[in-house]
Amino acid sequence: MTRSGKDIVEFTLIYNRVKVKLYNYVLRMINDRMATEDMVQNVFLKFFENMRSIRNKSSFNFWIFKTARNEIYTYYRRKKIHVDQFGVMDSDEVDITDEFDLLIEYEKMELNELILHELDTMAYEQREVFLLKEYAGLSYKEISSVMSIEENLVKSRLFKTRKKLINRLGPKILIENI
Amino acid sequence: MKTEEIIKMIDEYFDGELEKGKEPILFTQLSLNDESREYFKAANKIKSIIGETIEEFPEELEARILYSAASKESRWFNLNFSGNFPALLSYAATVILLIVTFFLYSESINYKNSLEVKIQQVNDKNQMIELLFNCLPQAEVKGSLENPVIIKSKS
Repeated sequence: MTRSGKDIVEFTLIYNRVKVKLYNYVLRMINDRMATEDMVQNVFLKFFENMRSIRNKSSFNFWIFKTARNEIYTYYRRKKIHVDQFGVMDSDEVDITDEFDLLIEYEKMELNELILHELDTMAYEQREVFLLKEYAGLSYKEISSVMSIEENLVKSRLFKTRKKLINRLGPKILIENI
Repeated sequence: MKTEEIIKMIDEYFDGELEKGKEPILFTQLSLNDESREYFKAANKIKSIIGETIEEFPEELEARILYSAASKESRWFNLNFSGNFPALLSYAATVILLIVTFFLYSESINYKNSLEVKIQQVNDKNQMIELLFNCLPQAEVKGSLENPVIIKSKS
């Protein structure tokens, strides 16, 4: 197999492993579907171009999410929008079969939107750590390298974010039996 | 164990960072502590709701990315070789030089090996000659005076 052939195979493997995580992380960070798609495409193409220069194969994850984070910052700078004032999510279509399903689906959607709304109102740093953990599935160590912060700070931010979500939504999510 | 410590363990558990050995301790503590149990339930619910909000990767985006990557790859080849004759020529010359270098290197290695064999053979022959010399019987040389020598005076 030629070197470029190997590169394409390696790229495809990493791309398939990371695509959903990256897409959801960027989407929740900027809440703009069109911009997310452009950004994800850019990140993957940059990764493809620079794959050969990344010596440590285990740092592919780090490289991809660090680049995505830089793209997000560039996006904010270009748009000159404060992170907390960011747009509204596109509405999702509800696929239902009967009235009972419809009710459950709406309740689910309500909870999902509540959580996403709560995340949007949180401090940017807290939200970012939470998204990198929950959507990108990175470890404490990986998050600390992507964000260039201490591992203990990652833990404490995650703890605070989760506690805040539980305090705000706890009674509701525990009562709702979905 | 204090509730705060249990909550810390719960957080690590949901983050996938709790050591496997500590999981039984966590669940034992959960059965004893109501407050931490409520926290566990709430955290679990949030985790599952977050899981439900994860969206699938758009197919059009996938097609776009793969198409762009493929075209970038062919563009890389085109930029480097197609329409750039000197680059192609130098690349070919490098490959040829590399092959010639490998050929010459292997030849010199063969020559070195055959030279070493020849030297070894010469040394063996030399030793054999020395042995043959040492095996010859001892020769005895005797001098004999059969004709008398007459010395006359001139006077």
